[in-house]
Formats: sequence, structure tokens, C-alpha cells
Amino acid sequence: MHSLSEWGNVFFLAMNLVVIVFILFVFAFYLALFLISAKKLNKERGLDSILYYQSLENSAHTLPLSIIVPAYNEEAGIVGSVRSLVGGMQYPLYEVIVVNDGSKDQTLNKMIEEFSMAEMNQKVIHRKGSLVSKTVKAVYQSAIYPNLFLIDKDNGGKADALNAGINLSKYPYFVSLDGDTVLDYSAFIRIIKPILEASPGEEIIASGGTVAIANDCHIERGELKAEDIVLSRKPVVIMQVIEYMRAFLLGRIGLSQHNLLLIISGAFGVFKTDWVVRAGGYKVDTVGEDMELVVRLHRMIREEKSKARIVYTPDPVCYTEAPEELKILHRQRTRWHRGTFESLWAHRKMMLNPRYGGIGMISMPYFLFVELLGPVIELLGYLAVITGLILGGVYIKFALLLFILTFLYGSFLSIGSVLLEEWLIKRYPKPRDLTRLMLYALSESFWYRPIMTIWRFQGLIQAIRGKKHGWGEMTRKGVSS
Amino acid sequence: MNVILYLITIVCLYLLAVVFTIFIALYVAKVRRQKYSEKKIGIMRKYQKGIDLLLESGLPPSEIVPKTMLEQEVLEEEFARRLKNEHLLLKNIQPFIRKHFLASYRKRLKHSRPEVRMKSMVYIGLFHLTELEKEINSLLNRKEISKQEKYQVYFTLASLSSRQVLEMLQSGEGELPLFVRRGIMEIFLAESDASPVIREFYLYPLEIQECILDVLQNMHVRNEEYLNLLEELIQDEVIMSQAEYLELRIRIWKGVASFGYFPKTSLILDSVPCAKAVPERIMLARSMGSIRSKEFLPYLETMLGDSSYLVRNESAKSIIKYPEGMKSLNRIAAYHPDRFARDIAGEWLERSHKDA
Repeated sequence: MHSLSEWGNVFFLAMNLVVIVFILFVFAFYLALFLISAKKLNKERGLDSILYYQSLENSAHTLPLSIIVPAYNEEAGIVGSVRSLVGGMQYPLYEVIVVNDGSKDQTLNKMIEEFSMAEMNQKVIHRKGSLVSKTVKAVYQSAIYPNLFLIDKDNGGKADALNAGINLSKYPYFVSLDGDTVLDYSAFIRIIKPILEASPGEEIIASGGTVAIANDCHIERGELKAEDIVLSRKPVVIMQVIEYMRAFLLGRIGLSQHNLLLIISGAFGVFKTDWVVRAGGYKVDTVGEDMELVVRLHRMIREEKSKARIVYTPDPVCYTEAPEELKILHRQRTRWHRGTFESLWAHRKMMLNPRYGGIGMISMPYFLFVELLGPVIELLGYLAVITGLILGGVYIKFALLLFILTFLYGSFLSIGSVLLEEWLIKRYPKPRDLTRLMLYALSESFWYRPIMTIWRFQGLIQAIRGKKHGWGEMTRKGVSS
Repeated sequence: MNVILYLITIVCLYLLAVVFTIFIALYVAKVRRQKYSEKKIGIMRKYQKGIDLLLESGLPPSEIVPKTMLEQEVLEEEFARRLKNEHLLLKNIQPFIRKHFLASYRKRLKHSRPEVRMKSMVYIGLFHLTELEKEINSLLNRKEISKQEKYQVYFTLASLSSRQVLEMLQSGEGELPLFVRRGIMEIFLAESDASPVIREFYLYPLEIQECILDVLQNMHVRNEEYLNLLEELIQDEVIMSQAEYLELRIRIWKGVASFGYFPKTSLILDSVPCAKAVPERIMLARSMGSIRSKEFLPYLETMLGDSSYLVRNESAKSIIKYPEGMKSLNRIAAYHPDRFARDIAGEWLERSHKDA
């Protein structure tokens, strides 16, 4: 019995040690990303308002874009989103392809009525490749906006809808955009900038932009003006604002600097059409089709020994509606975690494989150990803190140490992102917004992060059990009036 | 254990103190920025009438004498906003800008922060302050010039109609991305007389030649020099036959279509059988619709049976532009031996009826 207790002590201390080393390692990694991001953002500070490329908004040489908007039961927001796309974008040449993926609500009818969509005789004019998608029932063109098309197809999921959109697209680059998003009016010019600026011989095959949260902002006719950006008063939304800042400003800028980016948000990203077609388009049997595609493109780059790059640029912003109810947020997060699992599993060959360079040796292990398995270790940490406090004695010190480290890991990085955002981007105009963001970031470790850890853990369990995927429906109010 | 715990606590407290200090600094800056914006609105209100008078008459009102950077910023922003819509107003404000802003821009071009220098360059280009060309040029010699700033230097020099940028483009230096080089040419042509560029057309690399044709067409240039250039290019056998000149040929036909007039129609007819690529055939069809010479009609009818839908579509669109176009389409829809031609003619007739 005595021996069993000793073994228990050893196990408990070892567990503590694993968690402490993990947190210190991850903190150091994020700190490195933070410094890389801060350096890059500082270098580009203030250039945003200058926008020398704004003068080129009417240039004949700006690459034309196909904007693909998959929509499933988006009746609340689709009209506002499409209106912001066709009416107010500062871009010389683009087409908008909305793909109605067998919606059960009024998405199709609303689109047809609002934009006077007329069915086209030629169903598919510009087939880029042979991407397979569910049956296309009809293709419509707007009588008001000739560059607006609508595909009505059988339900097949978001990836399938994107593939159908790619088949109809006629331009060399396409933008994938969620049906509920609202774009900054110069977002296309900004997201295409790294592609246009590529040096001779350099090829950029994908570029991702920033996604920000628009809850409680006043959006009129699909347009969100800088002065109308407000911070929501709902704690769950504010925490998501902070989370997005951390994910985009810290993670993606840092990773993108060395071509190590594994995610371009499905909500807003631009891709070179022929690369995506060659890669086989979006994979339909996964929930994380955006991440999976980027990993597959990286794999192609390495296998073909190409010098092509995938980049992230913090400038272009698309606004989306974040879940306000915990139930929906829970569904979203478990789904995202399943997506990460499926992408990593599908490309496990690349993991720790030197043939795939930094992607195989840094990005994939980072996503495996920090993003995917992180919740398991964090949960152990929380358990260790609680157990240590109950057991008393020497364990209290361990519990305190873990508590401080968890605070450092959870809150400090968020505070850093909030300050970085304020220093260099200044999206929220009111001083009191900064204070609120700061206070919520400080509180993250005590309530939001533990909840997320549990949900992500659940997502991992669901992924291992092989839960089926769906469209990831979300109850929306619609961000645009 | 105690030492580790102590050290980690100290680190944590230290980091807390650092972030709290940064937070206070950023908060204060934010409040000041907000006040700054409010002040700007106040100045704008005060100057509004004077600015209108200056822009409309060119007479500088006595009450507008920018003494602070804030006042200059207000005026710069307003002038820029108005010039975007009415470029001709520039001549009215240039003397005022030279008198009050020139020295400030000269100083700001030496500022340590790149965004200050770049912002100044944008205004210098916009206000066409050619006196500062030398200073802008000298920025290229800075040791730590970012690529964005370098592009801005070239864009500004192009705005100032600097001969130097043309020479740079002619030399075909590879360090600038193609988009930037084309952008430079675009800005140059928008601000300057196109004649020297048309005269020296053959000195530019192919990708810039394509850009020149694009810009001339977009700007709706319609002079003899440009027409002669198009004629010359169409008569050039190498350009008209080799694959590497496909993009140039597309732009030539686009230019012809945009011109709407071409004296040597036989040159176009001779090119029809040689046009192998779809975009080239589309542009040829468009040119023939734009020029509307009767001898093109049989060719357009043949193109209605093209293997590409886009070419058939463009040809039908061109036929409609002819005085007897609808009649021709009716005939084609009823009797043409080619099913493709009948279908596209029918589609356009249906579309025309709907529009009517």
C-alpha cells in the first residue's frame, strides 16, 4: 500500500513536470512568434494608410478574381454579404459566384429576387478542370450585376460547393469567402498585394487575410465603415475577438514569414486556381477543408520541388459574425478541432519527415502537440492544480507554479496580442474598448480558456471516434441591415 | 522548488508591470489621437469656405495660413479628396501648395520613419511638385530602403513625369515585380504626354509594350500616332505569327476595337485565319464589330461556328452592331448549316427581344 502511494506521488510529480515543461516550451514558441510578428508589423506600421497600390485600383494589370461564396441556409446574411461584394468593392475586375448548396431556407429565392437572377442556358461555360461536385441544378446570372452568378446545386457540403464554384470560375485566382462575411472595401486589393508584389521568379499560390468579428457593429447595405466598428459588450464575443487577434496577429504572421503557414481561413483566402485544380480541389469528406487544402498544397510544393509560397497578410480584413451562445460556440470549436485532427491524420506522412522541410519538422509537429494534443496536457495541468491544492503540503507549491504558468500561457499571450493590435492596427476607435479588451484578456485563464480546453478535448475524442461531418450550421442574426 | 517558484513569480510580476506600462502608454496615445481627430474636424470646419474658394478660383484666402502640422494635414487630406474627383483643380492650388508645403515636404523626405517619407511622396506625386524630384531620387540611395518604399519612389517619379523612370523601364531591369513596372508606366501615361512613349515603343521590353497598349486603350487615346503604331504592329510578321507575342496581339486588337476606326481593313482580314488562340479570335471579332465595315460580315458569320462559345458569343454581339445585324442573325438562326452558329444567333435574338 505504502509503495502504491509512493508510486502515486512519483506519477503525480512526473505529470506536473510534463505539464510545466510543455507550458514553458509552448510559451517560448509563442513568444518567438510574437517577436517575429511584432517586427514585421512594426516594419509595415503606418503604410496601411498610404496604400500606394490604391492608385492601381483601376489598373488593367491587377489580376482579375473569381469570388466564390458557398452558402447553406444563409438567408439572414447572404443578401448583405453579396451586396457588399458586387456594389462597393474597390477592385477593377472580378466575378462573384454564389453557390447555394441545397439550402433548406430561402437563400436561393432571396438571391434570385434581390439580384434579378436569370437562369443561364449555358450551365457551365468555363470549366477549369474536372473537379467533382454534386449535381448542379441551375446556373443564374444577375440582370443587375453581370459579374454576379449563382449556382444552385444539390447539398454536398462546403467543400463540394467550393469545387462547383471553381468549375465555373474563369479567372486565374479565386477567393473563397463565407456567405456571412462582410469585407473591407479594399480587401481584394490588399489580399492580392503579396501576389502582385512577388519578385520575378517567385510564385505565391495562396494568400490569407485577417478575419475579425462584427457582432454589434453597424453594417449598412453590406458595408462596415471604420467609424462603425465597435466592440461587443458580450463577454463570450469579446473573448473571441481576443482569440482571433491572437490567432491572426501572433500565429499566422509568425508562421507565414517562413512559409510554414498551415491554415488559410475558409472565411477569406485567395488561391491560384490551377494549383487547386491540380491538387484535386477541396476534399469533401473532412470538416477542416480549408486547412486540409493548404496542407495538401504545401505537400505538392515540396513534392514538386517548387519554390511557390503560401502567405498571410494582416492587412485585408473580413468581418464575420461570432457565436453568441455557448451551445453554438461549443459546436463550432469541437468541429474545428475535428478538422485539425483530420487534416493532420490525412497527411501524417509529412509529420517529422525531413523531406517536407519546415512544414514536416516544425508546422505539423506544432499543430499536433500544441494545437491538437495541447488540450489533453492543459487538462492534466488543471487537474494537477486542483489535486495539489486539495492534497496540500509540497503539492501546493506545484499547484501555485502551475497556476502562474497557466496564467502566463493563457492570459499573457492574449494581452500581448491586444497590445500589439492597438499599437499597430488600432481597429477599435474608443479608448474604453482597449481597457475592456485588456481586462478580458487578463481574465482569460480563469474561465474562457478552461472551457475551450474541455471543448477542444471533446473535439479530439469525437475525431478519434470518427464523428460524421456536416455544414456546421450556425444560428445567425445577420450582420448587415 | 522554492527558488523556481520564486523566480517564476518574479518573472510573472515583471511581465505584468511591463504590459501594464505599455497599456497605459497606448491608452494615453489613444485618447490623444481621439482629441487630435476632433481638432482636425474643427479646423476643417473653420477652413471649409476658404478651401472651396481656393479650389474654385485659385485665389488663396488670407485666413488659410497653415502654421501647424495638424493644419497642413487637414488641408492635404481635403485637397487630395477633391483632386481625386476633379484633377483639373490642381492648377488652382499648386501655387498655394508650393508656398506653404514645399519646405515641409523637403524636410519630411528626410524623416527617419518610412511611413512619413512615403506619405509625403504620395502627396508630392499628387500635387505634382517636380521641384522635389532630386530629393525623391536620392531616397533610392538610402541603405535600408524597404521594397515598398522603393516602389513608392518609382511611382512618385512617374507621377512627376520623370524621364528617368522611362529609361529604367526600357533597360528591363529585373529587380522590380512586373506589376510594379506596369504600374509605373500606367501612372506615367496618366500624368504625361503619351507621344514619347509611343515614339520609343520598340525600346521597351515586351511586357511593358503590352502595358503601354493596355493603358492607351484604357485612356481612350485616339490620335494618329497611336493609330500608326497599331498599323505598324499589325504589319509586323514576327509579332503576328509568333506565340510569344500572343498577349501583345490581343492588346493590338483590343486597341483597334476601342479605336472604332481602322483605315486598312485588309490587314484585319488577313489576320483572321492566323488567329489561333481563343482570346485573339474574341478580340478580332470585337474589332470587326466596332469598325463595322461590311466586308467583315462574312468573316463574322464564319466565326459564329467557332469551336469556342466565347468567340461565337462575341461574333454574334458584333453582328448585332451592324445596321442589318438583326436581319443577318435571323437568317443565320434559320438557315445556317452550322448548329453552333444557329444556336448562338438564336440566343442573341432571344436576348435582344428580352432587352427590347
